[in-house]
Amino acid sequence: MSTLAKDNEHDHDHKPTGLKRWFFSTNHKDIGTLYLIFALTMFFVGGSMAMIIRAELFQPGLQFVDPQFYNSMVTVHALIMIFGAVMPAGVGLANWMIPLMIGAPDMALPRMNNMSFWILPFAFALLLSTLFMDGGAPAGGWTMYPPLVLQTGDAFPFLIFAIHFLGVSSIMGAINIIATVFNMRAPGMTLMKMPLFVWTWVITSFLLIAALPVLAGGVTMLLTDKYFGTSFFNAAGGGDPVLFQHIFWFFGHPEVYILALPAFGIVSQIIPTFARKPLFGYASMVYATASIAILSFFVWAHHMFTVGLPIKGELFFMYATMLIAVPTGVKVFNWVATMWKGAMTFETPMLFAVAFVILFTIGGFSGLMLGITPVDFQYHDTYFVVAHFHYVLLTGAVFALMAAVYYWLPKWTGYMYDERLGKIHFWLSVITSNVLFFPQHFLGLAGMPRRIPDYNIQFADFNAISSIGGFSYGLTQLLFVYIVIKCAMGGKKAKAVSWEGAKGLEWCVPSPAPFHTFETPPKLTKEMLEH
Amino acid sequence: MNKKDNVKEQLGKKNKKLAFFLGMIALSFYGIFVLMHAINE
Repeated sequence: MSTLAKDNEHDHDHKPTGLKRWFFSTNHKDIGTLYLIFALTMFFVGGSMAMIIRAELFQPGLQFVDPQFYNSMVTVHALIMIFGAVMPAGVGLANWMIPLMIGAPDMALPRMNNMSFWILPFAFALLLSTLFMDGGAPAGGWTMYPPLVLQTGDAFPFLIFAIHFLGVSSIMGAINIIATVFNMRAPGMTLMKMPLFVWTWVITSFLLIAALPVLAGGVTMLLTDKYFGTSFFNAAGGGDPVLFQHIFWFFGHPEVYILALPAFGIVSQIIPTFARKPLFGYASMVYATASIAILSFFVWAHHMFTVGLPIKGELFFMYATMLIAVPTGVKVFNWVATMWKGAMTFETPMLFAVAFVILFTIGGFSGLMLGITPVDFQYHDTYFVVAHFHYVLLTGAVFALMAAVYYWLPKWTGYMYDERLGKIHFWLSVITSNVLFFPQHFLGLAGMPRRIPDYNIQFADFNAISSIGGFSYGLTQLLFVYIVIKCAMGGKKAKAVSWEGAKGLEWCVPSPAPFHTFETPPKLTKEMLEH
Repeated sequence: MNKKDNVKEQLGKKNKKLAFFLGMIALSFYGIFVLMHAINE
């Protein structure tokens, strides 16, 4: 391992300078960094909208914003967090790490990689510009259900084109990942020897290619309904608004796994490192990931049990939903079994990974509850749903992304981050996020509907607690930015193998990873493939 | 052209072919999907 690190120290490390380096970059590491910075920026933009939501809900009654603007905040917060923060952060990690993990010199299609990224700022400029338009930003929810969404003012075409651009960017990114993994692996890096992070990204990429065109098709049909006189979703013209819900959730449920599978991959890298044991059940992890991906296309209607589906349909989607718990359970079991009798230490990445396993499982269980048809009739469109998906996406996906940043930051910057501050960030995050979202289960069970700026006095206490958790969580993330910047500026030098138990090809190159790596395919040893 | 450049070129072609194929799949999902509903309409 050390030999390879030394070899790579001689890699010519000359790189372009100035703005050109970033605008015209075709280097996977630079593009990965751009994605990660963009995602973090969007995380704060979307987060500030969440703060507005929580400020309004701190007390019953209308305090700060009018209901229309509140609905816009709910809608744009979701779109930004999903398409602007979590997805780009995952793609950023994929860009940085996949070539390093499989021994490739770069992504397969570097110029397309540049284009995939640079579409994003334009797409979000389109979306965010709607905040300043007549009629305000889109306010019909991120699900864009007609006929409500068709009442959007000037913002409507901007929303639709932004979604199209985001889709194009993600599909190009997915194609690049598949081509890289299929064609660029170092000799000896067979598919079943790839790190699990790479596997989860390959499977996610296929999900993206299959699911995003469906969303694009659906929103194109919305556009033609509004401006070209079609009636796809207009009951008065012979169309069916429920058809859009089918289309949306045929995309929307795989989208949940597009956000979650890379998180599974990250955790599958981190737990073995800090348990100092190989991942338990590697092959079963790969098959479980593929099973989850396939099953995700057969459960979409569990999001729409209350629209009046035939009973047989409801039963089918209920049982199919239950079935997803099996491969997901396999994964949770394997992570726990990896930790079992391991020589564990709890550095910040491991803390976030363990929190992910516990809290994502809580989100999974509340998802199971919602997947039971008669139960969903009670919980549908309540705060229980909001609590559920935030456990999956924030304490799930975002915690895994945070874990990944702490885990690979030494490889990216060449310095160790401040472990004491990292642990403070973790504990504050885990406490505040639970104060923020756990009471929302109770609110939902008590009947508080989602997407409302005002509520009955009986919900006041839990909302106040939730808002305090929200503000605290938001402030805590400023500490994360400080830790990352501090680490990038300097600190204790990181070794090539930055963590004692770290295995895999990415740890064979020096820290920071040189600008060009693996220009000659590495000769893989058994030790390099142990992960 | 030396052997290394040739391998690089071959790999580039292979990558572009796969990307084109996957792009066509995505486009056809989109096209077939909208067309199917347009015909129904």
